Amino acid sequence: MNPKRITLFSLCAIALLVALVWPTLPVASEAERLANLPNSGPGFDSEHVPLSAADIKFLNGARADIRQIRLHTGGSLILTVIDGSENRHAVHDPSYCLAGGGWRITDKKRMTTQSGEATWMKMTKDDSTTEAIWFFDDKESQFTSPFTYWARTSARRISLGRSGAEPLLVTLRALPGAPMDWNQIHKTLLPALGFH
Amino acid sequence: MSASTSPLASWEKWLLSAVIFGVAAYLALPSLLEAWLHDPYSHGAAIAFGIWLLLIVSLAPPLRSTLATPTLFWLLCAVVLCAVGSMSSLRVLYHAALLLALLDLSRINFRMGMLATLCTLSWLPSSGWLISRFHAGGLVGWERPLAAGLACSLLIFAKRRISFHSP
Repeated sequence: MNPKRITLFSLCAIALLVALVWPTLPVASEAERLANLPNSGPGFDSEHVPLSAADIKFLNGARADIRQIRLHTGGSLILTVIDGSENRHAVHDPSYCLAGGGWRITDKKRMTTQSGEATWMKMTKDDSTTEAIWFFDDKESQFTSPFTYWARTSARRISLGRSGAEPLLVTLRALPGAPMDWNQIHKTLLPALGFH
Repeated sequence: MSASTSPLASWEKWLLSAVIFGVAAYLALPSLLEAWLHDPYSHGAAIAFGIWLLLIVSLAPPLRSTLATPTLFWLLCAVVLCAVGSMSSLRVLYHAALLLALLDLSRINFRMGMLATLCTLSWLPSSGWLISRFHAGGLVGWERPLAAGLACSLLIFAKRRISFHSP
């Protein structure tokens, strides 16, 4: 048999085997980080919001924790933390989902956090207006680039978890009521929640 | 890589193409269907895919044509994208692998294949991310088929200028 032909068939067979087997190999999750989020801390307390059937379907194996956080200074926030270790595709740039849901982003700014950056957004839909911040957190830094998220999570899957921690997607959305002091939130609330 | 340098017999090339197409479809279709059914920025993308597919079929040279230039380029790219897509869990690579496997099966020439690849923006779910930067609320459903129709019309126009003889 022609050696070129043998090489070609072998390479294709190996590549197809990798394509079919690799997704079944386990990658360590960040379940512990989600479980260890504090329920209360200086200046706030929180309660779990149960995941709806639609949430569970959307997450499709990814883990999430949703909390309503009450600030002792007034105002409430919805905290959503998603760990995409088991299904990275449940994690999107939140502005994509919000835009798909009909929210029009009227203002957007980059905020500096203690170890990176977050995105602050103001959105409107019909007569409602709300504000939110979001970022990815990999234990050591915070960032907002979806491309960085894809690059890091891809490297993590290629290395089967050896390249570092899975970044979590953290979103804080203000509920209507008292105006939010986002600078104060990133200085006190986020570190108290473990996002240093 | 032209037919003269291909180490494969015709039936071997067909077999390999069919296997790689099968694997690429197995990997790509679940996420494509999910996007087409649930992603507000992919409304109408299934129809756009159908239009694109009809175009590729219509551009394919006859099965027994000696004008067609079998190439291993699309096939090798497709198999590499299947493997890298699985290792990195990047669905867009699965979608690209399916596109290349279809181009390989159609046996259209390299230049037409490159133009047809550009037309896939009309049905690829990843292009929705770009649209969302400019438009809130998702798509109504006619936008992607219209884009596919326009892109395919341009491709048919281009076909008149690009011969199947070209490498």
